[in-house]
Amino acid sequence: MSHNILNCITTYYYQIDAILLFFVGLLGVVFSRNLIKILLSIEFMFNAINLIFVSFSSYISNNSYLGYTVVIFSTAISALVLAVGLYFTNILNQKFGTIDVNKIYSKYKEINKC
Amino acid sequence: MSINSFFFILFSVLMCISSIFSLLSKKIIYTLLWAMVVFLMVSGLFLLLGAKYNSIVQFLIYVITIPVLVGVSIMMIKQNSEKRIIMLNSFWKIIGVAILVILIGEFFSLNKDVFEIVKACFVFVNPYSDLDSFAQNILERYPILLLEFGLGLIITVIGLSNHES
Repeated sequence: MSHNILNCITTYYYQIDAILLFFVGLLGVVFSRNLIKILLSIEFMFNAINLIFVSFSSYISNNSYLGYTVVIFSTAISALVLAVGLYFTNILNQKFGTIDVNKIYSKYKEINKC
Repeated sequence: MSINSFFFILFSVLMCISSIFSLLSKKIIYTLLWAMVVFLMVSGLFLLLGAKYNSIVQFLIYVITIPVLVGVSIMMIKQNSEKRIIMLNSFWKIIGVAILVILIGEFFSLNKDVFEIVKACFVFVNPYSDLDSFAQNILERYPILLLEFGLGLIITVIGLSNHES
């Protein structure tokens, strides 16, 4: 039985992989406090979704390129998101002196109180 | 076990492990390095699925461009003198990794049979996906979308460079 499973890797396994990667990214977004770590976790989630798109596209038809094309544009969007996010990270670092989300929030509250 | 399934298991296991390590590592630079491994493995999975063009784009953007971008921003954020001392201590480690990479490269270049075997693993994957037809498909069906994304990138770059913080 195990021999058969190893010989025929279907899109199902790719989607399980993608779901695992998505949840790792989600955990990173929720639990990590570093802004750069959060941005990289968002990139993991983008990658997981791209993997799902490509696996479905290769599963449905070999001549359909829609999923592949969507992935190209999704990659461009994710690069944009990262660039803008890093820019804001740098601005926050200049303003508050840290990239820890909790510290930034507490400092922001202190400034607003005064 | 076929070669396809072997590479799938290798890529997926490495991807999951390195994604967890990237979240658990305390230093940001190690997070970036583990994230690079994750992106590389996703690129390999794209190749196994037959999306050669996506694999190339993934490699160029995620494994080369984004680490440079994030690395530069980490350098801008961390401007401590202590880091330089740590970098000097890790000089020999970097030289060791470089020698290892050169040795692996020599191994692949000298043994042509090994290179041919690795090449054959990736060629057989999906004969239907054609790189030229995919590129043609993008240019014929989605030219305006392509132009819009190019414009979006240009506007972002101009906006970020013109802003005075």
